[in-house]
Amino acid sequence: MPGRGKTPAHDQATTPLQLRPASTVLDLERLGSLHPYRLSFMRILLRHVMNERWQIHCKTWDLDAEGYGTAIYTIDAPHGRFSFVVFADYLEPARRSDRVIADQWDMTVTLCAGDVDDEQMQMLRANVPLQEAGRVDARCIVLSRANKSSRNFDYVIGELAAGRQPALETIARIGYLYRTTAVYGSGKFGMADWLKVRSTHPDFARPFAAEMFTCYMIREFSLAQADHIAHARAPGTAVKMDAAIKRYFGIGNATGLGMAPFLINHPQLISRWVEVRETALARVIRYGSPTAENRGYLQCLLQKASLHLRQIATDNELQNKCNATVIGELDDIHDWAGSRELLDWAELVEHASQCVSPETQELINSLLMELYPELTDELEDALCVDESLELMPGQSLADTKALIENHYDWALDIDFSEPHCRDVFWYRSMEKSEPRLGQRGVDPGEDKAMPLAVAYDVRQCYDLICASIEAGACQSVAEFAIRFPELRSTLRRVQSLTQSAYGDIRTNLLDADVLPIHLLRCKLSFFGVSKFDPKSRLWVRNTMFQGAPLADDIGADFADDWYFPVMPTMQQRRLN
Amino acid sequence: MLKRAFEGLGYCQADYEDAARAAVWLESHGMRGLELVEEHWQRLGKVAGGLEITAIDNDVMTLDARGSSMLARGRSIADLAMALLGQEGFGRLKVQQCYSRMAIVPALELCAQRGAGAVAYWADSKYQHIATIDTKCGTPDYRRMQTKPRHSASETSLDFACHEQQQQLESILAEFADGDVRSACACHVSAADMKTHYQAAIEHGLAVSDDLLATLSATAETILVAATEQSRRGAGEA
Repeated sequence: MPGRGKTPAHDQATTPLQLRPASTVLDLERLGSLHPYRLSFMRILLRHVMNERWQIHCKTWDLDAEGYGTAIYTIDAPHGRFSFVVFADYLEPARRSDRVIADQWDMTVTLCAGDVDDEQMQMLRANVPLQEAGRVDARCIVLSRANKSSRNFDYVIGELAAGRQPALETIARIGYLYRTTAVYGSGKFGMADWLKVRSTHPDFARPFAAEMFTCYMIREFSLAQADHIAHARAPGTAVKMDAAIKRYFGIGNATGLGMAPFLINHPQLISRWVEVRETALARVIRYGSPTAENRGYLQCLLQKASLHLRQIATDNELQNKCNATVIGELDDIHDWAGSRELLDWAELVEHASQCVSPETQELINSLLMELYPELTDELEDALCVDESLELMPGQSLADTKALIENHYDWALDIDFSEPHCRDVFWYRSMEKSEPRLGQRGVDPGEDKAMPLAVAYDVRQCYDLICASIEAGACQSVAEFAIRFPELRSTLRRVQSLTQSAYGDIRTNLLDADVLPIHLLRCKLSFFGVSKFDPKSRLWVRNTMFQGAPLADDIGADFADDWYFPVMPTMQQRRLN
Repeated sequence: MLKRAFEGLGYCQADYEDAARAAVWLESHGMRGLELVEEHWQRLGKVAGGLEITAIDNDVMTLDARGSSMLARGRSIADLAMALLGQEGFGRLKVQQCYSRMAIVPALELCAQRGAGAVAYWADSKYQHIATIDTKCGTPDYRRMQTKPRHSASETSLDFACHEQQQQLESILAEFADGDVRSACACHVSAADMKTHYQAAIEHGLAVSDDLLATLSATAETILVAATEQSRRGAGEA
């Protein structure tokens, strides 16, 4: 393991940690270049699964030769038993779609608390395959679905059935057998509310832990299903997939605009996630001392990250260009750091801020945090926040005005009289309420726009506050909010977020050039996904859990080093 | 679903958030919030005017709710009372022309969270209703009395007060209500009862009738925009 740093407890008398300012961290382009780090939700989850030795057993495996049928896994975690239920159905290829508006899928799943009995299975069989159109109950925690990556799936089955292992180069191009297209939790469709999950299921009491675990189980099932079909197809010749190759398979994911409103509607939560990441980084910079051992480890990580990026296959030209830039810059940093004896990590961070792109800076930050689990990992318990945007009713208008000037200067700097600053609007489509972007004056639905225009709303609010102060109209914010009820939500947001360490993401979502994909990638990086493959500025494919240990690995030594996965070597394959 | 349904009724963002939150709060604390929504749905659909301050006499602020529901206005009332408390040392309001007054109960929590106790009083032809909260407990207590009110409470008015000292609120309560409200109680939902209901709601979820679900769904759909090939391009691939 890498070198040790002093723990924060040894240094309580010194000044508070210096976190980077919101103006730097909450810039959308920077957020949109984040890579996973050791407090990303998948990483945290798997540390628990592996270190606590969760027991995952397949209880029911009722699949026909083509892999269609039902499977039930039981999961014994430290604080309770859970069931993962899979319905694998035939899907006409023409109906296979990543879009949320699809209504049939290759696989539909749910994660439930406790065991499932026959009666519950009947209810699940009737509702889980319907997804949004079905209704489940509070025993269900997560509902999800996934579609086959047809080409990859058929190729892998063919190879296994013929007695061969699938080629790693092929898997490197598409590192999964299935893609999830939606993962629902938190009380939707009758499922357990987040309050219940958080209070009664400690194993999943961190953000999106149950959702991430469901994706992990989809991956687990997909690999077992592939073995099953290959064996059924050619019992005489089929081989099981090598464990090392299985680990190199993740679970695919397609994420579209549906994720973007979440970041705007949960500003306190996003602020907390950012604060935790920044706190971890600040601890490493302050308390972590470069040693020969951890400098060497960082050099290895730089090479691994560079190789990981080289092995990403995407048709997106811009992403390829970005990856090439980061690869070159990582190699430069590798050479720079290898040519000197660093006295502290601040020197590296400062050098990076001067010489490389924001994406490379953030990737280096992610790697630095890998060196010091003892400084960072305890922060996993700080990722939740009780969200509540409330008015400070007694605040004077003058104080609220000053607060906006201090915290939303970025919003006040936007000139909304410029047409391009209010060119688009966000709305929900009749097709499954899917969020979409429309162009003002061109597309219908502007009157039904979603309230995501934080910067514009703050501007409107500020102007009316100034006018009210000028007129001496209201004594308090409460009175002002009664006169202008349409501003009440903005007032609550502005006042509440000044209590958060970071506050709102700094962007104008109405701008003609808005890049929602930055919002998606920001959230996905906190989830822990990798191999971003943008399909447009509105949606992105990516890979989850690639390189992660398998359920069969539980109980073996766990090095927690599966991040930035790279193609396994022949030697690794032989070892497994 | 509730938020989108209230949005579909034409409520502004804060109002639909508050109305949905109040309904869910009441339902999850055993106070029949969904029944309240169902009962008043037609009326809730007629978007009323906002609150208007009409007078301030003897430190009592009078507001005209212009025929609006306390589902959407409860939190604004509590906010205003707390602002008055900060300015005047006592937050006392009289709200006129409002309905579904039971929905003021969740707003009491706002006062307690900010360090003040609160009391709400309203009456109808049969009952007087009192909801109180103190900062120690943090969950409201609700009582309904069959005694006919003597004072001038109308069927559309609501009295609300908050103060940092419980003793002051007891005096106000005596002023609002007639007689010993605690012994003449016809229905009492204590803070402990409410907490029990809430725990059960967290554990088992809330049951929504098919009729209400259909009504809410139909109304929520009105905020959606018809899909076209053009609009599909606004979500990614064509």
